[in-house]
Amino acid sequence: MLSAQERAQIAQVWDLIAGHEAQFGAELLLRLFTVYPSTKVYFPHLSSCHDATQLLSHGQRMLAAVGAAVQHMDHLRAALSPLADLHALVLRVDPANFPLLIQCFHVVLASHLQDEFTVEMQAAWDKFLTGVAVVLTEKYR
Amino acid sequence: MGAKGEYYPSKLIGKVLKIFCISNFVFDMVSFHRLLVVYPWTQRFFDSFGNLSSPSAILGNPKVKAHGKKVLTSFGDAIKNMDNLKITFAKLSELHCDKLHVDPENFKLLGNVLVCVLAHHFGKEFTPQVQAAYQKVVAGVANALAHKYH
Repeated sequence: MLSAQERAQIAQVWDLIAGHEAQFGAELLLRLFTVYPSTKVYFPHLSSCHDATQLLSHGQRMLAAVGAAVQHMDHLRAALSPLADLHALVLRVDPANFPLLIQCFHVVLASHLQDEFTVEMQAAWDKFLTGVAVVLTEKYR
Repeated sequence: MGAKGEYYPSKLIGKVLKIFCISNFVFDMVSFHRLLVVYPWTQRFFDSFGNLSSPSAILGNPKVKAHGKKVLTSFGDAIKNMDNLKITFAKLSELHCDKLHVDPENFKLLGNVLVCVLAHHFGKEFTPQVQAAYQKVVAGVANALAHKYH
């Protein structure tokens, strides 16, 4: 359950990301692979050569999905249903990896946005992304 | 854990360590504040600290500041003793298990928060490689603090 304040903070975070989806998404993936190398197993096409174009493209796609989740934060299950199917049936990313991605997301935002990314915004964003991760792994069994 | 040079990229650690030690006063308060705000269930260990009812109350709380300073001083010790983390933290590990009854999961949370604070402070300088080095340090500290649990 998100409070009105949390909703506003999540929207604020997204406003800071919008327009930079590819750049932030690519850095998110690069940090994920560098800090948590075991996550590379889920991205065989990306992680072996760190091709900038592919990272930007996949980063853009991932952050666009996050943006869609922000637009539908009150109806995450419905909005993310196709992605949840994909994660359950095809990707099957172990749920333990989502907190690693979330940590890298916070670091991307903190290092780029610094004072603009406040503690309260991080709290709301963490709660939101954790909710997204729950929905994405809900159909696993 | 291997020797400092193998396990941790020492040049990167050294650079951030220098800045970390000089600016320790910046990190102690904000890291603990961030932990208690972003993961509010961690407040369960600080019932005696008084007013933790809002982010600004936590920021202004003198006991939070004092405790943050203590914790971050320990992190500073960790960086100077990276080859001996389990020995360095043995007594603290026993304390957190036997007296303080802190779930070791909290050490990981604080470590992650500290990394975020460093990223916030150093901005673009906090590259993926520096983050990787620091995540290893905080993971090492968390493991060392959990080592004596029984």
